[in-house]
Amino acid sequence: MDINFSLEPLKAQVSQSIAALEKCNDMTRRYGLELSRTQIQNLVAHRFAALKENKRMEFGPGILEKLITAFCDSPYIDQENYEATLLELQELFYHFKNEALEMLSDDELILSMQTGFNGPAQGSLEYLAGEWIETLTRRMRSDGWGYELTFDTEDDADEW
Amino acid sequence: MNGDERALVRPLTEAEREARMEAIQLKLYAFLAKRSERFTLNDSSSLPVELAEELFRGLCFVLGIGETLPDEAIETLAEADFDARFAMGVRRIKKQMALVQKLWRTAVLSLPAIPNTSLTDTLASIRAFQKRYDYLFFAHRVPADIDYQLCHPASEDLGGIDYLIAWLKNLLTESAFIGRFPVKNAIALLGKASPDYIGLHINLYEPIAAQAIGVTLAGGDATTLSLSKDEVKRIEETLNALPPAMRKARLTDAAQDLCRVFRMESQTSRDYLIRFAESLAPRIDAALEGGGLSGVFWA
Repeated sequence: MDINFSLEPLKAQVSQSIAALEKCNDMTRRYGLELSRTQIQNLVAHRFAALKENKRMEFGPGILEKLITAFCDSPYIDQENYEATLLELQELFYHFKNEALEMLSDDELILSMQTGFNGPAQGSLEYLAGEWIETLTRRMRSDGWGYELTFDTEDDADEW
Repeated sequence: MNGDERALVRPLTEAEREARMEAIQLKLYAFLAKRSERFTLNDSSSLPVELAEELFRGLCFVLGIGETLPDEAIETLAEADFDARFAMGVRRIKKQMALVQKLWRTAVLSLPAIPNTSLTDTLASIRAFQKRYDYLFFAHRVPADIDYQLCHPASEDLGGIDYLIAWLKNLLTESAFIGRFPVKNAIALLGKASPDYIGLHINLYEPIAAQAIGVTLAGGDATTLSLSKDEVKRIEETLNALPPAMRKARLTDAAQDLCRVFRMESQTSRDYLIRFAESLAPRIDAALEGGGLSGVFWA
């Protein structure tokens, strides 16, 4: 009988992710943010789709918990756009991981996304996915090790 | 598998096999998760799929899990403690690394005094194997440039250090055989068989073994590695008169005669030469159809 290397999520992984996100609600309620059971299931389903799309594999409960912790106090997120923003941030995260050539840890990348989103992007996911990540990855590729996580995005950014 | 499977009282039913396979898959997945955490130093929750696949192959190698599992192996793995099994696998690899070093030193010391760039480059590359071999994560890889072509290649299915050990053992078998011939005779023959034998990626054993079998067929002294045009013609006529199956038998008989003349004690060396003689048969069949043996034996 063959040993198969399956990329499909295990049932246990899915329920682990759901449980972790339900727990997050306790923390985010004070910011007026809460995910319904359906929204959580949707986010988890999109997590696996995003991983597949970006040709990545993840074993633990996923990155959503960390994203929620980092972004729940953002002035640009409210209950109305909460789920949609998380969906987009999750997708961008896995995309950025590939773009950054595995040179950024999860925490570094989240910090960078948070800095961009709350700073120059002013809550614009489009800006974050475009100019911000372009600048960041350009620097990663040209400099490799000597990067800094916070930087301005003015015209002189090209000097990096 | 590592050969530690227990014999089953009865074969597994389909349902039992599936249940155990599912348990193994779950355990493997959890173990892969643990290894990937260790690999990323807990810095990254996700990995590119290709990297995850490589980590998976590496841990399967250390755990001794092949691509297909017989029932006995399924039974053992379903109950196995993967942490303990991995630690045992690592200990096995460490012992094998000492063996690689020993084999490599012997290979260098017994290297025939015949210049060949790909052989010396390959041995130089294997020298750094110990430093480059990442047995904790990529034990299935062979971090060396193995450019030299052996007469009988080591099986690619082996992977990692097992492949390298098999490769070095085959090289030692070839070197021991080549070492039975005076260097000047071997060099003279190689000059005829492949004028750029130093720079080309050719195997040194094959032409020497073929010629030695040819000389034996002609009733001469194999160590000379020398055949006249008349002798090649006579071999051609003798073999041409035989049906293909008999031709093959005649070649293996000649190889066995050679083993006796050289007093080759090692069964491995004898089997190696006889396998080569068998592989020579289709080449000879084709050469005879093409009109002559000049590309197989050299006058």
